[in-house]
Amino acid sequence: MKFYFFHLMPWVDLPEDYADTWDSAWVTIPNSLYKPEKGHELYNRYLDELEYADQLGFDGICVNEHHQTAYGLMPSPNLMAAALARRTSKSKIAILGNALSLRDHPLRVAEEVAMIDVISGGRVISGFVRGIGAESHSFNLNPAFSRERFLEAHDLIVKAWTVPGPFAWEGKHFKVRFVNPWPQPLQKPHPDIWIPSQGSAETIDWAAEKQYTYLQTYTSTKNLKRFLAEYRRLAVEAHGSVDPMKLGWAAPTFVGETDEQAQEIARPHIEALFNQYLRMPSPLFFPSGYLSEESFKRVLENKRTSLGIGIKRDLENLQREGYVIVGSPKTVTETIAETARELGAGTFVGMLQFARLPHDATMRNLELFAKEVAPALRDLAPHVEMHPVG
Amino acid sequence: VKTATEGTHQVFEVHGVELQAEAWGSGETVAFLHGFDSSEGDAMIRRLAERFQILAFEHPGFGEAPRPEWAETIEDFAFIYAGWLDGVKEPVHLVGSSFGGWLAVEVAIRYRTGLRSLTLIDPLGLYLPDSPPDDLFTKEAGEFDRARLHNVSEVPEEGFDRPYRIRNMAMLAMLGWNPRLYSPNLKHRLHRVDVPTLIIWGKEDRLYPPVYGETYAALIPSAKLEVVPEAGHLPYEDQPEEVAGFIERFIDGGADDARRGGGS
Repeated sequence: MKFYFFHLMPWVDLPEDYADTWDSAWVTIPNSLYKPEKGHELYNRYLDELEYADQLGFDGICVNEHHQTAYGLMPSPNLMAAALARRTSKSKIAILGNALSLRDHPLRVAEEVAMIDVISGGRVISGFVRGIGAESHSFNLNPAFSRERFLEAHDLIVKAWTVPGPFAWEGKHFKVRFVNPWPQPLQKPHPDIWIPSQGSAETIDWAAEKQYTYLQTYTSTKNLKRFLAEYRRLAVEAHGSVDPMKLGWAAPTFVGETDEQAQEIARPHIEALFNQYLRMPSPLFFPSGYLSEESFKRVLENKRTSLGIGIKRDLENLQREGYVIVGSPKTVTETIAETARELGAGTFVGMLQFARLPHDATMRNLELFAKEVAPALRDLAPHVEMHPVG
Repeated sequence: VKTATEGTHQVFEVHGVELQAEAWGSGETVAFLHGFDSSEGDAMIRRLAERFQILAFEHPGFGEAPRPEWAETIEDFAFIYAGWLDGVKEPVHLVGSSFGGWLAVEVAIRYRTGLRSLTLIDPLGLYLPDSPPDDLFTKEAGEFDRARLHNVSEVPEEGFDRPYRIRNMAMLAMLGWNPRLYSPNLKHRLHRVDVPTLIIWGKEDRLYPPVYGETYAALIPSAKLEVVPEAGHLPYEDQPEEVAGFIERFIDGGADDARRGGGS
């Protein structure tokens, strides 16, 4: 297996009672709550944590893109990746991902990712996402065209990386007379592409067809199984076999000395992540047109269990359903191993800092994960017997 | 079998586009373009169908109506309805409400011969920086429904699972997310509306206040504005008799008077 550390870089000074005044940590929460001096401290602390993971031997360190939110302070993941490129030496740098639908000029993504790949000596993993529903609001980007723009921007970027320029692009959403970006990525044909997703059928289908690494985020074990099995089935149908490393999942994870101690430390921060940072009214989370009709119906059916817009959650409930992994090194190792074996998934992305989890606790979490969990799972070769599709 | 109590389903083929409507009553043709939802306006339609032939359209992509893939802007929709108007035997009275009012006026600024009159009921389409409209796309379903009416006591607490709700709202987003349900240059085009025009506005419209109606009335040459008290964004839901009465009187006399008075 391979192990990655994913940092969200949350705003830790979100008042605990903010929910009494604002209905979400996204889009409308006033930016007067943001204090640049504290921001300076946080960025540097968070980059230290990511750099430490490189020293500890994580296979990769991960950043992502979100806008107008206390949930994560990386409107530009490429800036963070660039900072990490010069201060790390071994880990892959996974950008999970650039929100392609939000870009009016997707070639900027092609250029920046290529720059970081060249600077880092070919260590970039290039994740692509649509941008979540809330970002349709913060960018005033028509959600009905989010998927189309994502797909077209992806096609343009990959072509810009793989077909010698200059060439012209006359698409529906993007028109470029000269596609000829300098520099080009160091990795050939291009950096690995990862597709983080919450499990929409269209995305799973597309990622499997393209043979991209599919990374399921924030999901119960039940749905994780369903989505990864779907990816596996489609990938095998299309290509005959699938590399287990292309099946991944991300989960908030905390390793303590014992189960009890881990739960005690993680509890307030796990609960804050789900009940405060992810909380959103439904029209922000799923703006009209953002999901296909089928996906929207599925969300409505699961409304009580949907992330962010559903019921209030506690640690026990989140652990039981598999949204989070919290416990002693033994518990965490066994939990990951069981899921990896059952799903044939070789890529685990630990969200090892969440909500207000302090620096010391985060560093200890990274250490315990790297020294007590990852080594025991390194050689685990997940394998799933394929049954004929009927 | 067109009676006031039973509509008949009609399908028009417009240059490859299937345009659906429910037909009610008989007489001069009144084409009705619905707002967010074709279930709106039932009481008013039944009332008007006692005197006229009502064609209550279902917009492409709304309800169960098909949508050609290329039709994804308000302009595309205006040309579909203009294409339908090309084929009518007699000029028609065009009535549009809310989103459908915006669509009706987008037809009328382009198409100047197949129309006999234009009635706009709380149409979207304009943006007044000093009176910005309320934002439909950040409302929960129940809140959305209540915002459209003045008398909200009878609005059920139902959500997005109402039939067609998901499709209709997705279509509305496609056509009006950005700019948010308006055409930036519409105000420079309204002078082209050269048919008698009646503008009806719910005095208590919480989404688009009556100043929008006053603006439309000032920019459309022959327009007359009627403000309906005790009525919201869908005034015919709050006051069906009164709104139907305005339309009936306008078509019976006012429309032709206005044409004589306001035309060139």
